[in-house]
Amino acid sequence: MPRRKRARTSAEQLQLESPSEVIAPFAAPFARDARAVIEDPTHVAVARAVVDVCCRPDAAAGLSLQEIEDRVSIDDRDLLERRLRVFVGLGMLRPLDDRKGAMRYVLDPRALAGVQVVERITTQGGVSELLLLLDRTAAAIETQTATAEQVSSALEQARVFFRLFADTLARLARAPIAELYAEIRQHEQQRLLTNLDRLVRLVAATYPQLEPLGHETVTEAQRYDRYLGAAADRIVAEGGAARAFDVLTPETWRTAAIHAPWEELAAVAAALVFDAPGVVVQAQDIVAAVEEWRPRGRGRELPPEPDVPAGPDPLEQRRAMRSARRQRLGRQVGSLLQDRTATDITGVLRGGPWRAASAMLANLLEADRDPEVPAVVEIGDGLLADPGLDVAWCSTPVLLSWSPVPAETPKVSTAEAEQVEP
Amino acid sequence: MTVMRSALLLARLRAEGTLAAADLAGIDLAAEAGEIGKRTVRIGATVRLGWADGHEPDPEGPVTSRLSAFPTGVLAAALALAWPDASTDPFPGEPLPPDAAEQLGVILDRDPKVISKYLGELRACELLTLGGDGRLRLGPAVAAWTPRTVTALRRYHHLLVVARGGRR
Repeated sequence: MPRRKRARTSAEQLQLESPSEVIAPFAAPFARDARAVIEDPTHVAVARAVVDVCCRPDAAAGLSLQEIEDRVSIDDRDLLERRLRVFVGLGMLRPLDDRKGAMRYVLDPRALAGVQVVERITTQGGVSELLLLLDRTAAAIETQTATAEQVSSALEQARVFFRLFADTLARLARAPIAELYAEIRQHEQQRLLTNLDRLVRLVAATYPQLEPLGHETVTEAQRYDRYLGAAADRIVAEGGAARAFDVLTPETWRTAAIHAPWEELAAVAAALVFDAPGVVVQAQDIVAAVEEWRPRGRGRELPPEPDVPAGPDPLEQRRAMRSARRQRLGRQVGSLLQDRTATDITGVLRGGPWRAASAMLANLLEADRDPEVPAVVEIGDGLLADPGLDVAWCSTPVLLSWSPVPAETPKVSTAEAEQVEP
Repeated sequence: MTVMRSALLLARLRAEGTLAAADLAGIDLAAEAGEIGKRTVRIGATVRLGWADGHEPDPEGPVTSRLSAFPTGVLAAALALAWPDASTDPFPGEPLPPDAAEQLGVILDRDPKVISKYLGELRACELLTLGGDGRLRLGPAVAAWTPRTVTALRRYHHLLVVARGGRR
C-alpha cells in the first residue's frame, strides 16, 4: 500500500497550480512520455518572452537565434538556449524558408495559440473550453451551419465536461478547503448554465430529436451546480469559522474590502471580542497644539523699515542746508537794512546789473515768505523806467523791513500783512 | 474560580469599556490589568481601564486612533478652561462655562459653530462629557490618562494658562 503523503498546509495547497499539475493533464494526450512536460514555471515565461519578441514588427523578416537571445531579457542564458533548441526542434520557430542552412526564424502562429491556451488552462482550467464549446455550437445553430451530428457531438462533449467537473468536485468534498477553493475559483457556473440553457433551447427548437441528449446534459450540469454550491458553502462555513484568511487570494480580500457592503464586512467581526476603542491622547500632542493655537497679539504691526542706504541722513542734510540758506538770507537783509528797521531798496536794485538785481529781489522775496526769516518786502504800484540803465524798469517803492511779528508766527503774505497792520 | 472570574471580568472591561464598580466587588483586577499594560481607574460608580505608565502606544509604533491637530487644540483649550489649578488632577476639573463654544472660539480664533462640531467629536471620544447642569466637563477618558501624561501636562500648565488668555 503506498505511503500517504503528508497533509499539506493551506499555503502549500495554494501552490497547486504548478505547471506539472495543471498543464500535464492537458498535455498528456500528445506527450511522448511522462517527463515530456515542463516542470519549472519559468519555462512558460521563456516561451511567452520568445513569442513576444518574435511578434514584434521588426521580426517580420525573421530573426537569428542570436538575435532572439539578445532581445529576450532572461537572466538564465543557458535555460534560454536550451529552450530555443526545443522550440526549433518542435517547429515553434521555423526557418524563414525551407532552404537548408537558413539561419533566420519566424514564429509559427500555432505557437502563439499554444502559449495562450497554456495560459488559459493554468488560470481557468477547462471552464473556458467548455464555454467556447457552448458558444460556438449555439452560434453554428443560429447561422444554420451545424449539422445534427455536429450538434449531437458538441452536446455529448459538454455533458462529459459537466460530468467530469461534478465528479471532481464530488471527489474533493472532503479535501482541505484550500484545495477545494483552488478548484472552484476557476468556475463560472452562472455563465456556463446560462449558455447551456440557451444552447438547449436552440437545440430543442432546431433539432427536436436531440432534446433527450440536451436534457441529459442539463441534468449533469445541475449535478455540477449542486456540488459547486456545496463546495462554496463549505468554504464559507469552515474557512470563516477557522478564520482561514489564506484560503482566499489577496486579490479576493482586496476586492471584498473595496466593494462589499459595510454591513457584511462588519459582520465578520460581530463575534470577535476586542478592546473598546479609545483615542490615545499624549501630553506632547496637547503641548504642541497649545504652541500652535497660542493666542496672538491683536495690536497693529508697524510697517517694515525702509531700506535706507548707508551714509549721512539726507533729511538732516536738507535741514542743515535750509538753515544755512536762512542765515545767508538773514545776513543779506541785515546788510541792506544796516541799523534801520525799514528802507527803500529801489535805488539799490536800479543801480546794479539786471542779473544781480533780479537775484537780490528773488532772495528778498524768499526771505519774506520764509517764516523763520524776520523780513518783509513790500512792492509798491509805482513804475520807474530808464532805458539807459541795465535795470530798465522797476516797481517802486520796494520797501524792506524787519518783520513786526514774532519769527515763530507764520506769515501768509505781504498783502495780508499790510491788511493786518494799522 | 476566582481567577476565571477575574479574567472574565477583565475581558468584559476591555470589551465594554466600563463596568459598574459593584460588579467588581471583592475582586482586584490590578494584577491582571498590569499584565496587559493597563490599570483600573475608578470613576464614581464605574471602573474603566487606562494605560499603565510606560505602556502607552508608541507614537512611532503601530497606528492608533488619535485626534487630529485642530480637535487636539480644542481639547487643549477646554483643558485650559477646566483645569485652572495645576496642583490638582485635571479630572474632574471645573465645568466649562455655559458659553464654552464662544469662549473656545475666541481662544482659537474660530467660529463657535466649528468649535461646537469638534466639541461633539471630543464628547464621542469621552474626552468631554455633558454634566447634569447642561455644561461640558472633562470626560472619563481624561481620568484614564496615565500619571506620566498628567505630570507632563502639569509641567506645561503655564502654557495652558496662556492659551486661556491669562497672565503670560
